[in-house]
Amino acid sequence: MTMLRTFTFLAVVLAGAQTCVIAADQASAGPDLSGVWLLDRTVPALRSVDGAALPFTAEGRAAYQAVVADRKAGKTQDLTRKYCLPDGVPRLLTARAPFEIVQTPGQVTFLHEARHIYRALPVDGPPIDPNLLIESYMGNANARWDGAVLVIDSVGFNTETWLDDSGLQHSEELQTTERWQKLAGGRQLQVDVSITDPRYFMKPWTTRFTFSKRSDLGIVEYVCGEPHRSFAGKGAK
Amino acid sequence: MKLNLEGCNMKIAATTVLLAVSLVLSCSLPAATPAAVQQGLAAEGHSAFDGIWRNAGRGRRPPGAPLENCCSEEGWNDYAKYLQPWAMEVMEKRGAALKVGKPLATNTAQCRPDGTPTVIEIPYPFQFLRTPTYTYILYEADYQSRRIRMNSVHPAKAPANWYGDSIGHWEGEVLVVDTVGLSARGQLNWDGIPHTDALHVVERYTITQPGAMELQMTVTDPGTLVAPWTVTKHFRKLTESRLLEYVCAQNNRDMEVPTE
Repeated sequence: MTMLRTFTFLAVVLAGAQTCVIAADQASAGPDLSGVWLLDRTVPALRSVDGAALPFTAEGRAAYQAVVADRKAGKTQDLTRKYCLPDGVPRLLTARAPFEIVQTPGQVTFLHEARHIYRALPVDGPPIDPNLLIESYMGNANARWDGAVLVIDSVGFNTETWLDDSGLQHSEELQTTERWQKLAGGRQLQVDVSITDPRYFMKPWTTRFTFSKRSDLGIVEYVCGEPHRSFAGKGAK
Repeated sequence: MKLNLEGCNMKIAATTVLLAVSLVLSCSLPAATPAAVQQGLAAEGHSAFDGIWRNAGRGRRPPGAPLENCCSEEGWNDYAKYLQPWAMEVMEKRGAALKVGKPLATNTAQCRPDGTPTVIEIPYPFQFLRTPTYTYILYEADYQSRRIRMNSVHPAKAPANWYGDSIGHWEGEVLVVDTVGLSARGQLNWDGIPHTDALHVVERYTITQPGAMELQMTVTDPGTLVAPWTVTKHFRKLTESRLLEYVCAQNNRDMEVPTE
């Protein structure tokens, strides 16, 4: 085989392999997000990614201010923490504990260490059966791939959850859309969470979190009311 | 995770056999390690475990009734045969309290973790997730899950916690899960049979017919049992495509937990 033929041969093989990798990604429906991830920075309160103030409706602002004032006065508490209830979206993503993404055919599963919540999300599955739609802490979610972005749409939340640790409120009209994508050559994950809640917010707004891959961490057992490891101040940055 | 080779085939047709072989090899690279594939995902029978399963209840199968119509549980009845005196006393106390309408709380009743092996018999759906390195079991009941390291060994120092350290392997079409490191705070089953932290649980899951799965579980605990105890459970595959939310604490607001 001459040099030229060898080169051509390799080039064709590599091109073919490249095509196949893309085909594989399409078949397994998207890039590989699997692994253990940890939030980069603490999120005491959600902020809009465009830097603007949150577009509260009057009712939404009043609901938030009431909770903040009542907490200060000791008249209400963070019941989610007090009773170890599921955080809901997006508060779950602000936990300072790792989560693991597992990809299997037709499903993406998020296994969170904090409060051992998991989200088992059908990918490109049939729409949610309205008869099975239950009002829930974690909502009713479907996932799909938009190119290299994993999109998670959630509806049907109950009103027991807060949007963040500061007590940001939402109504029963809450819908969230998460757009997950890899950054930094796969070392980081970024999610943009769009919050739509016409009763509490005049228009949809988006908040953003980044996570770093932590192959050194595994997910450990988490039992409410028992001591847990803490990652406060121990993020990638 | 299957490779889509359709796009490759056109190229293969246009090139040499040698190239085709190289190409297929190249295409295989992004997939899991060949050894793991051989032992796990590649075995077609293992996909029969995919989907959502349920143990339909504690009822005992009437003699002669077909398994698929019942989901019976066999075992956990021969207390006298297996329990050491101290454990027998615990169960007699439980039985007496139940009789007078004041049942003693079990972990399950208190929204404590069911843990291994009690979680296995919870009559709510669960799902296996298979990857080359781990098999996960997601339980609908209170967001419990188990992580089973495939083709691995237990650490020298096992934990003493609720779900323990689980390793798994395939014996042909049988999924075998071996668990140690279980805290004595756990219980063997819903009835509240106690155990020590030397408990050793071996689960053997077999698909007996399409949509039907049998579990043979052997629990060994020299501190509690006079002999290894094997129970058999049956599960049916459900047509549901997803697990729903089940939050124990939602209806147990008196179960306040300390702030983190």
